[in-house]
Amino acid sequence: MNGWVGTILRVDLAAKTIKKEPLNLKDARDYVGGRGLGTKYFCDEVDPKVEPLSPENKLIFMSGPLTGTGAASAGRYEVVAKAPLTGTIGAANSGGYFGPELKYAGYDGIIFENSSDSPVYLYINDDIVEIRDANNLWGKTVNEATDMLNGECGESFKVSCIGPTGENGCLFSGIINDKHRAAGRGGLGAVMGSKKLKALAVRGTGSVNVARPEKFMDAIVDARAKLKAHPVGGAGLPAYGSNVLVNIINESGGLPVSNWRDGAYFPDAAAIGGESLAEKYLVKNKGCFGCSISCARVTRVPDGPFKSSGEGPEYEAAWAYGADCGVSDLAAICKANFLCNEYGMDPITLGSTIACAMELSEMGAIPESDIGFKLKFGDPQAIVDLTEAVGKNEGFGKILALGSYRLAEKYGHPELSMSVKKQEMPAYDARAIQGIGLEYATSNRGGCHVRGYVISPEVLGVPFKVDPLVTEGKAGLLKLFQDLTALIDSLGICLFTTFGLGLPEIASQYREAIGSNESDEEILLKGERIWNLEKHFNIAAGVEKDTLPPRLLREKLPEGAAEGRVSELYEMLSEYYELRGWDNEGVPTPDKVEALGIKL
Amino acid sequence: MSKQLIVNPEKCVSCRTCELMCSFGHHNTFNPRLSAVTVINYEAAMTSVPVMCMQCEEAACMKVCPVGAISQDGNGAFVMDPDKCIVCKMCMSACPLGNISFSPITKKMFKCDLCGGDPKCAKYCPSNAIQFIDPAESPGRKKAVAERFKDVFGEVVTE
Amino acid sequence: MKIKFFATYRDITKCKEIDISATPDIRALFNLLSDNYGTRMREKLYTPDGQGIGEDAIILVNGRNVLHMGGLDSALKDSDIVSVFPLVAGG
Repeated sequence: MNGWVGTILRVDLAAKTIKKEPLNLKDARDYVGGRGLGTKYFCDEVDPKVEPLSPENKLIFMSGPLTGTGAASAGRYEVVAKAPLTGTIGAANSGGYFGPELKYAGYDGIIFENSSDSPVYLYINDDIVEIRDANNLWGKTVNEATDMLNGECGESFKVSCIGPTGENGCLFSGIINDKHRAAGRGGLGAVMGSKKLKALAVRGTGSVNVARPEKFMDAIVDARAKLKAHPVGGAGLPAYGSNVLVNIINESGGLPVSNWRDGAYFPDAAAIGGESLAEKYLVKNKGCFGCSISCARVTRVPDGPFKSSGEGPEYEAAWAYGADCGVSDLAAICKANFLCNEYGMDPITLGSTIACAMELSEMGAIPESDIGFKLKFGDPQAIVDLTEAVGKNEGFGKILALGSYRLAEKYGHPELSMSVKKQEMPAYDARAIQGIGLEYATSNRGGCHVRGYVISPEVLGVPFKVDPLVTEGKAGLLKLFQDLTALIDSLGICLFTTFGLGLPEIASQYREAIGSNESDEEILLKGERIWNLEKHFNIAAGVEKDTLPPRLLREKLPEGAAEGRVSELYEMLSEYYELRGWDNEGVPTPDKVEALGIKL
Repeated sequence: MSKQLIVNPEKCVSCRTCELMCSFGHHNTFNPRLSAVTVINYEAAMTSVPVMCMQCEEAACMKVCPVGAISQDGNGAFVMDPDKCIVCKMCMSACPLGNISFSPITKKMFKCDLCGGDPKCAKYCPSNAIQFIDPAESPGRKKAVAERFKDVFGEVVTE
Repeated sequence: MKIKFFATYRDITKCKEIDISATPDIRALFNLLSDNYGTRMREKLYTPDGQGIGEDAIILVNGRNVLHMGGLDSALKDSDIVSVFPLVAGG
C-alpha cells in the first residue's frame, strides 16, 4: 500500500482486547487521514450526545498518508474525541516523532474504546501489541512517565502520554508526545485519563511506501527547496520561532492585554517576543520529524527565581501568560510553559484562564480566600504558582482546571471568559483584525486561530495582503483557509508549510504518494467535506451558536490603528454561511451534504 | 583531498531528514532503520549528532571481509558489493563506529556509499549539519572563529 | 520619527531602533536606510525591480500597514513611529 499502511488497531480497554482491522480505504480516500479520517470513524461510531468523560467516548489516534514519508514536514498525527472543554468534536494535531513511528510499526491509527478499570498503557513493537499495566506510571509527570517507559521498553520507543492533569480530569489537559509536543487543545488528555490510559509506547521498524517514487522525490525536493527559499520557513521561523509574532501583532494593535480588558497594545511586548527569547534563553532550534523549517525552541533559563529548561514557548502561549496576564517577565513565562508540558496541559487555555481570574479578582468577584493570595494582573510569580497548582490539582488550581468559562460562570461573570464555545481565543484581537474574529466564531472546536489562520493575509500579507480593518472578502478568504487547513491536518504535514507552499505543491506530494490523478480542486474538496462533517457533528451534539464574547462585540479599542473599533462579526457571518452552502442558522443544507457525499 | 562528509552537530536540529532521504535513495522506501546515517539525540545536553560511516582510511570492514565484498570506489567511499556479500556480519563487528547494518529488505549488509558522489544526507540537510566538502577548500571552522572576531572588533559594516 | 527594526532586520542594522527627522514618504525613507545599511537592506526593502515594497518588508506606520495607505508614497511626519518587519509567521 502507498502512503497509508493499511491497518487500524481497535483497542477495547474494558474487555482488554486488541483487533487489527483493515483501513477503510473508501473513507481514507474521501477523508484523507489524520483529522479527517479520525473524525469520520468517530462520527460513524459515536453518538454526538455522548458524555466526553464517559466510557462511551472514543479516543482516536490517526496519522496521515504522508506521515513518515519524506514529504515536507511530514511528521504529524491527530487525536480525535468529543472534547470535554467544549462539547464539540475535538481534534488536536501534534508534531515530534511519534506519528511516523506509528506508521513504521504498521498502523495508520488506533481507536480506543471503553475504559480500563486500572491504569494501563499500550505497548506496540511492530506487530506485537499489548495492553500493559501502568500502575507505576500513574501520577507521574510527562517527563517521568516518558523516561520510565523508555527504560522499561527501550530507548528507541516513542511515547505519547498524559500527565497528572489528564488523570485528574483537567478540562484542558492534553496528550504530550516526545516530551515537548502536544495534541494540546480541548481536553483530550482528560478523555485519555478517564479511560485510565496513561500512555502509548511505540517502536516501528517497517517502511512507508509511495506509489510513484521518482515523481514523489521530485515533488518533495521542490517543496523543500521552496520552503528553504521563503523568508518565513527559511529564515524567520528557524531563527525566532513562532514567538516572533509578538512584536508585529503588537505593533499592529492586535495583541490583547489583560484578559482583553485593556485594549490591544502591550507596552512591554518586546520583552516577551521571539527576539528577546533568542537573545536571552534560546539554546538552539529544533525540528520535528523530516522538517526543514525547524521552528521549535530548545530553551533554558539559567538562573534566577524561574530557573528552568524545556521547549517553547510558542507565540500563543507566550501571549496567554504574557500580555493577557499583563506579565512581561519572559523567564516566568518560559517556566510556566515548561510546567504545562510537564503536567500535560494547554498553556493557551491556562494562561487565558488565569487572566480571567485576574480580572475577576481585581473587580472583587473572587474572595481572596478562594485563591490564597491577592491575585492581580502583572504578577509573574502568580502565573507560575497557579500553573503549578493546576498541575498538582491543589487549592485554587482545582477551579482553574475547569477553564475560564466555568471559572467565570462560578463567580457570576461568564461574559468575562474570553472564549467561544468555552474554548479560549488565542492571541489576536478580533476588533483590530476582523477576519480572525470570524474564525474564532465559526471554528469547529471553539475559540481557535489555527484552523482558519487569516492572520496570514490580514497582517503578514501571505499569500497576498488584505486590510485587517475591513470585513469585505473575509468570509470567502476564511472558507478557503479552513478547507485547506482541514486537508493539511489530515495529510499529516505541518501547517507551517503553507508559508512557502500552496495547494499545488501540497496536492502534488499527496498525488504522487498515493498514486492519484485527482486535481488540486478535487483534493481541496476533501477539506471542505471534513469541515462539513465536523459541523454536522457539532449541530447534532447541541453545540452553541457561532458568536463572540460581548467584550469583542461592544467594547471599543481605546487606541492604535483600530481605535474605536469592535468586531463586526455579523457583517461577515451571513456571507460566510452562504458561501459554505449553509442556511442562515449555519446548518449545512441537505443539498450541501449530498454534494459533498457525506453519509452519516 | 577529495570531498568528504563533515558533521557539525551544533547545527543539527534533529529533524532526521538525512535518515529519510538515505533510506529512500537506496531502497525506494521511507524507513529510518534502512538509513546508513542515524541521528543520535542527547536530551539533557540539548544536542543531536548525525552519525554515518566515516570512510576510514584504514577501513576495518574491508580488511575483515572474508570474501572481498567491500572495496573503495572513485569517490573514496568504501562500498559494499551485494552480490559478493555472504552476510557473515563480521564487518558489523569490526566497525568501531557501528556504521554497518543489516537490511531486512535486501537481506544484505549495507553501509554508506556516499550515494555515488552526491550524498543525499548533505544535499537535503536543512541546517548544514552535514556537509559534503573538501576540507582543504573550505576553511570552515577556522573561518567561523575568525568571523566572530570580525563581528566583535571590526567596524560596523556599512558597505 | 522613530524607526523600529525587528527580527532579521536587526542582523543588518545591529540595533533595535533609531530616531531621525522625518523623510517626506516611505520611498525616501527606504533610500535613506539603503544608503546607511547597504545592499542587504535595499534588497529586503524593495522588490527586485526596485519599484515596489519587497516581500520581506512589512512596514507599519503607527500600526497601519503602508500597503493600505499610499504604499511607497505614504507620507510621513516627525511624530510617526515606523516599524520594519521581515516576513515572519507563526500560529
